[in-house]
Amino acid sequence: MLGWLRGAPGCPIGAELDPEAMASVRAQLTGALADPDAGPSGPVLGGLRPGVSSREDVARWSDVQGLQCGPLMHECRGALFGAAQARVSLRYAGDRLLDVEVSARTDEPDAALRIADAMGAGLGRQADPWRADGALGRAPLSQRRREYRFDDLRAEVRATNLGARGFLIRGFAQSLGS
Amino acid sequence: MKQRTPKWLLVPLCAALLTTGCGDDGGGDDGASGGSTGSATSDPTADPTMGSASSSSTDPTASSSSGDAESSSGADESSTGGSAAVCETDVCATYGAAVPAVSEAIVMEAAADPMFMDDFAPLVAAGDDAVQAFIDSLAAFISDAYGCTEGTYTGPSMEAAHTGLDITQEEYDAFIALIAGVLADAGVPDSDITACFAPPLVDPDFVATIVGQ
Repeated sequence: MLGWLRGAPGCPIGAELDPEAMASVRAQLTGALADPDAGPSGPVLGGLRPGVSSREDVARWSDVQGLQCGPLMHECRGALFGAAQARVSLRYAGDRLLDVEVSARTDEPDAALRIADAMGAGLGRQADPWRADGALGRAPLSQRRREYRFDDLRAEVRATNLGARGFLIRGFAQSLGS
Repeated sequence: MKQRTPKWLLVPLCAALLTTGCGDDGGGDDGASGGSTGSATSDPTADPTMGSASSSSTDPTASSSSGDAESSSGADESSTGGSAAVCETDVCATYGAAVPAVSEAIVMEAAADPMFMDDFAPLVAAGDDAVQAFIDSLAAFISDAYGCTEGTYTGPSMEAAHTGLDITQEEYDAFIALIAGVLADAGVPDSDITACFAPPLVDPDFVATIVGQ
């Protein structure tokens, strides 16, 4: 029943869209997230350009960063932002990079904040945050959030206390538009 | 690599959509059957009964250094150390009316999130009515789950909904972090997020019923 439900008629979640439809929806969802006054973002994470970079660009970038990536450059792992084992996920439209997401975990709140700061600098390009709120503490689901907006990209970093699972620091840089 | 929507949300919501007539043919089999009560509250580990003590005594920071957190936004630091926070708020009376708005915020934020966008895109492509039906179903699920209503949601139980779906920890954690942000945006105080909403979401026993099943 569960397998039938996913993608069944009347249940669009998990269904596939053709690339053109996907691009249209993506433009609809992300277009409003731009800050036209902020100008273009430029490269993030020391060389990636969501919306522009190719898989070959990503491969070169991962070599420079010392990361281990899968053959299609969808996922990489290695040391980033002071985290020994960061996970990098990359999404593409064809050969064009759309988004890059980075996540890391730690059991120490101070380390979580350091990683979040470094991640924010790497993804937000040292810009002033468009939004900065929350505070990371000992309480489960306490969260510090920073969001950066440009006219072509949105970046966000969240450090969240997940209780027994420690702290998750998750950030992404998302190209805007189609 | 296709990123997937957290399926603990996906399957019961799909079932709810089918029962509410989402789709071209009104849904056929309502999808809400399956031998379960259909209410998340039937799962004791998923039912944050208001007024009960938090089930979470899993504070990983209890032994951490004192330099733990900034307080740039007035974060509530009263929930410190290893003691479990107690929800002293009447969750339904205080937040029940906000469930629809929170549900909408969760859906819209997930739809725009790189991890979940691929799966929500077909829903968005289906149009505003489909999105609203989805939001309404989520609101029913949340309302029942927190004991504010009963039987409003008629999808599968949490256990039934998750078995065989292979939800990753990465997906689950990212979605929980998203929810935390939505609650904060909705004005829920940090103390209530921790004491009233966090416990089932971060409880290892509950997480184990969803992740990797």
